Amino acid sequence: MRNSEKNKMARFCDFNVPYSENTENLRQIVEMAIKLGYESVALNCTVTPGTTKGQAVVPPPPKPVELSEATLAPFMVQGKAFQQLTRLTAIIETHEQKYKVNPNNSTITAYDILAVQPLNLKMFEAACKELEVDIISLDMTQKLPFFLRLTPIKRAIARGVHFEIVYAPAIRDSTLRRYVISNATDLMTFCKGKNIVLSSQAEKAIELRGPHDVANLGVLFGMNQAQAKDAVSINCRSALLHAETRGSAVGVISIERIMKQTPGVISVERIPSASTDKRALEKDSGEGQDREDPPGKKPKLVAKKKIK
Amino acid sequence: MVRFKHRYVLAELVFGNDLLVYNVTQRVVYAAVRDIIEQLHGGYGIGLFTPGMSVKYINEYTRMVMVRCRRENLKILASAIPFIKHLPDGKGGQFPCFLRTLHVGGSIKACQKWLVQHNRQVLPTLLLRCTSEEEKSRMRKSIFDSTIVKEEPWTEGKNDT
Repeated sequence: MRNSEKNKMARFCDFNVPYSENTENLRQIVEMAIKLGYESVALNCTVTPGTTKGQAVVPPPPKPVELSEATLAPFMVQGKAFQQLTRLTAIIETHEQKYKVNPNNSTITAYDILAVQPLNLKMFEAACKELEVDIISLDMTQKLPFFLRLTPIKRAIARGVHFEIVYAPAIRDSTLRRYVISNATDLMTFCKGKNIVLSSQAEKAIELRGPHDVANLGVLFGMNQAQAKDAVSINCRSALLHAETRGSAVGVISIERIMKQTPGVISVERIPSASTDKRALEKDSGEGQDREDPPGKKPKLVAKKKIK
Repeated sequence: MVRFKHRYVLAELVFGNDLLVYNVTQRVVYAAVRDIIEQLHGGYGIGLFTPGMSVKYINEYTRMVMVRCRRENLKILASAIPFIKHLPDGKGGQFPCFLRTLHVGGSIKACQKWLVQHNRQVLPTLLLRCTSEEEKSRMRKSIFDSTIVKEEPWTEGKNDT
């Protein structure tokens, strides 16, 4: 790949860095991700929503890892910024837990990305068909507890929900590798390489892999080259955009206002509803040209939402 | 002229610690790649692989490795590389390490060209690692010396054609 192509390509994302209290380890993982060329990572909190009333459902989103100037150097050289997101993964098994994953809940909207991990067929179908989530994650390190079926997966793809394949367990152990490869190829027969997000779930920094290597892993899971590359870049971005449209009130327009840009950090203020403030719109349309969205990606998603 | 088409995979060895120099030889990398291919693709993979494969270049200090394979078998090599998680250290133990694919080229020359360009981009980031001002100025000078091409001083008779 030539350097000129490198700059044109969409940004690489890793949407599953497990959040832990061990900040030193977490920092190492994020630093390694920067070194390998990822431009955004999502710190993932996994929860099992409680069934009893009054129980705290979701912890507040984790704070971004503090990074030194030297680690952010590769981005500053190229004039780019590194982005840290937050992601919530809810493990759901019963209907009560399903209703806890409600995007109107303020603690849940505080997260950037919402994912679910269904444990049985009923919940899987609910997640595909009706739940307002961005990513459906399946535990691929064991035999899946249910058979995947075409209809719900088709419905999920039509709604713009993404499926996640986690690769770090495959690197960790050879038996887990078998399960991951078999489950991933199984999923691939249904969704034909579309709407797949490849992410790491690395517990140590050494378990991360560079974006191009991850794309090669995608080839091993049954995608073609282009789809595999999309799975680490464009698909992640569209999952994020899906999350943003969910955050807006009508689900039709979402406006970002870039508040300040310090080297290495972008802070974005989200306006929750379709604002009619003309000045804000004009300002944003001016700034929007500078952003490097994949062309045609955002309007497409918005259109889908409208139809629904 | 008929010739075998090859692919050269240029990869960077990534260790846990950035600042140490590990003793890695071509043979060690070759064995590691071979082992992984055997685990992942079995006897078939090894059979396809053995004829064209070799480790062509290794640099302990910049941690660059170049692995060659036949063009048809690139997919096998590329899918196996991410599964490398440690290399033997020659004393019976092993240290954690993985390979990060940087570039795939059709000839050694193409890879070298890419590498020079890549290294030139990486150089300025070294500057931020320096702790003291003196170290910084020395680094700046050496980067300057290595990237700027000096012109020969003009002398009479020498430059006339």
